[in-house]
Amino acid sequence: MEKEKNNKVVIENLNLFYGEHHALKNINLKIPEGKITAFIGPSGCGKSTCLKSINRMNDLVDNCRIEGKIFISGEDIYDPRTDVTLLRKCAGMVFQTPNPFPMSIFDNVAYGPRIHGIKDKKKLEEIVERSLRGAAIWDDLKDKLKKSAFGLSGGQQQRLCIARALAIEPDIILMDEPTSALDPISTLKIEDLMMELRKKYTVIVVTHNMQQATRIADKTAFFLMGEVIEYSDTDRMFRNPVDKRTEDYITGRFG
Amino acid sequence: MDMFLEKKEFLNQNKKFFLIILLSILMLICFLLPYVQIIINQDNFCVTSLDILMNSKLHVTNAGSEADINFPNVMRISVFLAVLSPLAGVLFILLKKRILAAESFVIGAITPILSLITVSDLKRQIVDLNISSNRVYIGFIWPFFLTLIFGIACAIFSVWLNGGEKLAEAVFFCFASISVGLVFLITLYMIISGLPAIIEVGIFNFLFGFEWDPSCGKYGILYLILASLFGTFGAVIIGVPVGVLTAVFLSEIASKKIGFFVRPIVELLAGIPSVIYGFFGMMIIVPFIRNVFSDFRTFSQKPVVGDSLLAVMLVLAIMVLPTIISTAETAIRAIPKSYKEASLGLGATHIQTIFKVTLPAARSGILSGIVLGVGRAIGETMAVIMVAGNIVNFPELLGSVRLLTTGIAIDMAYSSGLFRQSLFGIGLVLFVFIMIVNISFMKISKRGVQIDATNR
Repeated sequence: MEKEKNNKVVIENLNLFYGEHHALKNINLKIPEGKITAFIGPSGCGKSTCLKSINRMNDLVDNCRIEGKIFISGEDIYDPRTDVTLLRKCAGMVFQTPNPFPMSIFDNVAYGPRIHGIKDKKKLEEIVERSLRGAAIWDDLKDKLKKSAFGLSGGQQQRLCIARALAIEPDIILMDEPTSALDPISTLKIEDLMMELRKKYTVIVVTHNMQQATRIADKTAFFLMGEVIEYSDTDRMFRNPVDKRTEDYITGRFG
Repeated sequence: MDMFLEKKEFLNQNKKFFLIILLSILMLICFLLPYVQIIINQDNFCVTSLDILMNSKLHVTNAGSEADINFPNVMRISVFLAVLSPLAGVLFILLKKRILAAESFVIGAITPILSLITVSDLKRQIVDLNISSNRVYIGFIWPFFLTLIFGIACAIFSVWLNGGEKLAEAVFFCFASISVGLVFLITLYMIISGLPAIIEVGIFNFLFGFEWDPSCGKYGILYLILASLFGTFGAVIIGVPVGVLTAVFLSEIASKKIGFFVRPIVELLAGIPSVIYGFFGMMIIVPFIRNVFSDFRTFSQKPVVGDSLLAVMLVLAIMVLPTIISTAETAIRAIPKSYKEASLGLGATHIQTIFKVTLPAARSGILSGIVLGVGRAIGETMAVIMVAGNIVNFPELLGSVRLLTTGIAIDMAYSSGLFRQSLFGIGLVLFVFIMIVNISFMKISKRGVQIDATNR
């Protein structure tokens, strides 16, 4: 029971269909709180889809049908009574390519708190500073909060997007290949940041890059053709994978 | 060995240069040849450009009577420009400014077209002289057409002068610059024909005088300007919310099926001729206003007849809808999906996302749609004539009004002298408005492009 409590996200018998296509097949995952969990696997294996199911971003896709259950902190998020906006406030998302809004840096970070009803300017300033600090970018940006977010480099934009996600005070941060559009140095910075975030948040990250998974993830799930082939501690999976297919993938025989 | 170095051109640079000079000299000679031909009862008067430039009048004798015909200013200035431009072109060639040179040659080629516009004016003068019945013929003869051909040829050669460039590119450039030249010419024409009346009446009296009574020599168009501005403003106030929300509906909310059905209908709205809108306004909006406000009176205590500024606003609002809807919809569709995902991912609702992210991001596109709509509304004539009442009044919502466009259209047929010239003055004012609208459109849409560019 004690162990159960430490699981922030529990996915039970999740099946997902895009029209006729069976994209996720009977997924069962228990994702621990305060850890980084990585989803790896070849393109089209369903890892991003699975990530998006956790904050119901798949609702936006036409013909998407979901069976099974996902619990966050013990609550079934596919319950018809669930308020999707509150769910997404609880599970912030960072996307593959940096996607700041066409606004100032300040407004970007303050966007989330504002739509959730915070109007007080002092409070917003506080949140913006805290979030930017949380994303380790406050020192770079504190003098140009009024400038357009498009003036920043790709890596800075991505950290700004992380700050924007932090501003709504989520419990879980979902990252969909957050470094795939960045250069190695920016990638390193984001990875350092993720290690920091781990102390306060549950981080789930989808990555193409297996080295990245070994560097940062506590647990790793290997997806293939819509199924979870193997899910265990990262060290164990990469040292001695149980399944033959996992071994083939992480040794670079396909993918 | 050097098969790649030795590029064989059809003409080498010196030959081209020589051709340009030759052609422009030919062009100038053409201007000196008989240019305009006026035939009155078998008597043939030929006029060279030099005549038009040097003498402001043509002395005509016919059947014993004699008289002078004035060349219109527009004709004289266009000929002046036409003679000047080849010279300028040669000068630019010597200064190695190829593009400017080509532009000058093109203008030199098409400027004489301007004088075509004045043919009717000349004809009217001759008919007014009563020296002949109807047997008047005015025509341009071959030197006129030769200048056109020579000018364009010169332009092509001067762009082609830099050996590396290809002939086809030069031809494309020259034809593209014909439209540029036409805009330039129309601007010039409006200024030449509109300005004299404005100066004669006095700029202040013309623009800010509030009495328009040509029979008493009063030429103040303030009420016309105000009516045009109010009408356009009202159309925008009514049309923009409807248009923008329709665009949001089509791009963000409507299912594919509904969009498939609604979008062509909106586009159809743009294709309806303005006379038909006028009918609609006349038969439906005007009676509607008359019936609804039958108990009201205008400020000047006249009964409400229905032909009114309000009717103008409503008709114009309908007419600007398609422009606003299609531009705004395109702008909204161009917003990257990632903005919406980011907003929804932060827990915003669909409607919050539309109003806080999508619309602000599409702002410049939507604004340029509105400006285009303003341009359409301010220039609209036919539909407005049919519902405005066309009485020069201080514009009030329920009273009849006359706008700039309708003012021109109604009086053009019978006016003469200063009255007629002042209509060109109104045209110039309208033209300035349209130019302001278009320039602001260009500014706004350019800003939109810049935002997109930094985003990529």
